[in-house]
Amino acid sequence: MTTMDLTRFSELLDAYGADPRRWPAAERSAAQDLLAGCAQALELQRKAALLDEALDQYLPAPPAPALRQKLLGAVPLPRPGWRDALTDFWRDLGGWRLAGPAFAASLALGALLPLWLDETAVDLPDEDLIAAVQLVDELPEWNP
Amino acid sequence: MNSSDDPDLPAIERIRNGDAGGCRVLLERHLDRLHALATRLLDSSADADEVCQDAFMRAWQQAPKWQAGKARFSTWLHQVVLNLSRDRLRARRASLPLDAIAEMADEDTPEQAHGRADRAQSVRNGLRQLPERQREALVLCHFQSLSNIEAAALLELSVDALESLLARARKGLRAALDGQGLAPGAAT
Repeated sequence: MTTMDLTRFSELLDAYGADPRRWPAAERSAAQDLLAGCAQALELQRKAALLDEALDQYLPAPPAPALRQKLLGAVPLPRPGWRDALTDFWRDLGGWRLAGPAFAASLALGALLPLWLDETAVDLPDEDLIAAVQLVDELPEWNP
Repeated sequence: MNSSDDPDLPAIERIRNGDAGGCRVLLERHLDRLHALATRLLDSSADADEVCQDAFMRAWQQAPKWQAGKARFSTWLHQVVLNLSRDRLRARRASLPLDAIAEMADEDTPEQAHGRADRAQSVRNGLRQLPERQREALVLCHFQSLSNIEAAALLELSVDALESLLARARKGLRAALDGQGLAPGAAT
């Protein structure tokens, strides 16, 4: 443990004042040890405290509330990137709450649509088309 | 100076995530203190308003890209206010004759003057008369309660040089108060 002499203690008071919280952390403990057992150190501290008290009486007025409001009004929040925009879009669409039903509906549609097309949308060749094909087949190039 | 336990980091993270509440936290935590710093350095609360406005505009821009680990955010804010205050003092010196600078402190209203203790006014006058570097050292260490290491770093000085500035500042203030018949320890 380091010790402190009265000369150094006096320098400490001259620079940092009487409050141990303002003393350098590395020397605080040694200074307090000296203080605990030295009446002369206590007297030096008492004198230094008088200037501290005078200094502490100068308290500037706090800033007006209007300044606080002005500063808060000027907060520029970061613009959302494309990931944020996509997330917002997804959320606006309903997010995962709608994803399940939408997936089930698309599965059902995928299963039912071919069945319905089999019955209604299969178009058999009509008589005119068969005749046209037969006519082409009768061209001379095809019958050498 | 350990910045890994910077108490401002959660608020900075909120700002990074687009949450204006983080700005509110920083403002509540630092505005009064930084305003007092600028007022004591400039001896003008109107100028301190403008310095704080500039400083926090910079803070809003800096917060989203702040990298933890180098310095505490509050130390950086102190540096910004210190630099902006120095710029203002330099501009004052460039634009005004010396006797006008001494007169340009805020005028108190009669009510304020009546309510203000003589001792406080004397300290204010004494601070105004100190050389700029001594005033900065004293304001940072005594009023802002920065550690000697933080203050020395802000002023770009060794700790020994800071200590010497502080001792001269306190001696000068004591002499100023003595000169006004308000020696520390006299009746308050």
